[in-house]
Amino acid sequence: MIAMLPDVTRELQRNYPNVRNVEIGLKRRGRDLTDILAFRVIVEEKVNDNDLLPEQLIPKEIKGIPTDVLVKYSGFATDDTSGYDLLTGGIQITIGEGMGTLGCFVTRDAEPAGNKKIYLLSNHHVIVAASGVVGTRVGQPSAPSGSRCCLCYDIADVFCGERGTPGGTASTLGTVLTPAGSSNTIDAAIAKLLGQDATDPKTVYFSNSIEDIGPVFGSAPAILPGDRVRKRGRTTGLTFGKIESIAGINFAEHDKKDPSIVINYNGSPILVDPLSENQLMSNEGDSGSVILNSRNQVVALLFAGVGTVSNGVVNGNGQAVAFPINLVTTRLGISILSSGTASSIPLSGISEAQIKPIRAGNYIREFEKQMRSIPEGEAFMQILLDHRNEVMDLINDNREVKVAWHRFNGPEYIGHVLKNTTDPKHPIPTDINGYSFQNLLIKMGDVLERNGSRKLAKAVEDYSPFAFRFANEYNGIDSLRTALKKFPLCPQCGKPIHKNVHA
Amino acid sequence: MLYDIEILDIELRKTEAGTRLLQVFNAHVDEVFFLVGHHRQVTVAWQRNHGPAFISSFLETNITPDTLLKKEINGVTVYALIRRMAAALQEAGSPALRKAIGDHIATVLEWTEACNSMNDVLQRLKDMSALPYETSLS
Repeated sequence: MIAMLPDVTRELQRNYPNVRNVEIGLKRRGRDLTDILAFRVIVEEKVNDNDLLPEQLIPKEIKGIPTDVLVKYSGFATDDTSGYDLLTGGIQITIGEGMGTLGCFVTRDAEPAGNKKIYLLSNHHVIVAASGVVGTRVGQPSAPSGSRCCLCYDIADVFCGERGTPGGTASTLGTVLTPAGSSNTIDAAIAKLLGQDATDPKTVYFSNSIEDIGPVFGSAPAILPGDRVRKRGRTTGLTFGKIESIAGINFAEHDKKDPSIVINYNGSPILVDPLSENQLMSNEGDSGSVILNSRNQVVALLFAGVGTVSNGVVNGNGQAVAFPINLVTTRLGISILSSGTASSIPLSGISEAQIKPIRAGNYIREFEKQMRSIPEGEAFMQILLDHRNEVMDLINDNREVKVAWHRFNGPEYIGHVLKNTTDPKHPIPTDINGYSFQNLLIKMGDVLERNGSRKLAKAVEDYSPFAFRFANEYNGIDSLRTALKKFPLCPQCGKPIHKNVHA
Repeated sequence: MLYDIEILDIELRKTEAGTRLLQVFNAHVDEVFFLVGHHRQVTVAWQRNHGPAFISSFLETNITPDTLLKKEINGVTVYALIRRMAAALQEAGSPALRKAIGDHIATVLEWTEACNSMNDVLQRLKDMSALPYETSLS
């Protein structure tokens, strides 16, 4: 059928001006898919048979293969708004321009065996977007800060990617195998996980699996109409679908903000129809998720949803559009990581116990949420965020600060404070190994003042009395909220009152 | 100078909180003096942040009426002195000294902010029954 497709398409387009293109896929009956393979003839507008002349009717079958007449569908790029946690496939990622989903983990074929680095796979419009370049930092779940500390959201640096353009010629970034001047084919990019170079202090832990689905066993050699598949995206979660069409699809991707901007992918995408378990196969934010078959092999990279454009507004119908994974791997020169077979990488990069640094993200977000629920807390969070990057960089890179932080049990105290945020019954110890929380604050204030910027030194001077008093009264998140309420806000800057007057 | 400290001692013993303050002071004064005199890091912190000058200024407030505690000398604030000395002493001192510093630094900074003379401190002690923030009396 695939071999016949170009001739059939040409023939139909010549004889029937209303025909946009022809796909190979499953015949539809109303909203339901049948198991019958057919040439799906996509028309501009569906007209009742009685209103057409006999010569205008598309034949019921071509060369013995049934036909199905369907109305043209349009698509819209998907993006994302909320947060996830574990570094596996199916979780939220962002570079600060919208949100998307981490698909799965891959290696580059060009790298020598034994020295292969791990990359994450997602869509170009997710991790490169409008302003991304090689080296752009990817954050999970929130926007990256540019830091390499254990608490920041940064997880990877963009390495390469490819995306279609309105002009019809693929735009590439970094090192890809796509020949120059190629037509629009895929929307995919990879980013190298942090911590794989000797000079990189950050460790990013990953598990070669998809959240809610399980381990990934590489990619599937082929995909067929009717295959049952599933995907996990950051918006709709785990959804099930059926491959509806695999070849010949002409898909027009409308920009979500400006539907008049259209990127055409002719022939490369596949269409996935949602099964009855879920109304939608995908929605905004699922871009970048991978579609897997029943053997947990990756078959496609999801990149858009299907819908209609009406008065400049796109309305999704629940179907998803994806690129076959072999197209993506061939163009980018990558291989999907496989787990659970001899000589493959272990199922997980690390043991469960070591995943804690990533899981801390949940606690941090809960802490932020609770703090921001009171006006004084909002100001307090702002102070923390103002200096977070510098402090974390000093802890990571400055020996004196690092030693002080660890000797006075900083990580342990932070862990208890954050755990207490989500579980108020979790006790905050009065001291750890003979060092109290106050001792930690005194020491950190001293080394940060000495090694940090003037701005940080001023903050230490301004807020030390508050910090020491807070440490004395602290026995949980509620006490922090109470303590913050006792400190009036500075009428000029809105921050908790401080000693130094404004210039 | 000794006479002034004796007067201060007598005044402190008149209140419960003052007595407790003296207990804490006496428990650690020898170690602190030793560290200030012999531990390089502590000595440097004490001298560089004008510790002797601030102590003189504090005692002076009891000798000369209407004299106020200097809050800044040569660009170093009294708060900075307290913070830096606390950091140096807890680093070099015994676990007991470290605990005492952790327990009382907030109070010391608070009083430094609010009080301008020795009399102000004594008045504060009279108004309270115990030192705040102590995690235990040991």
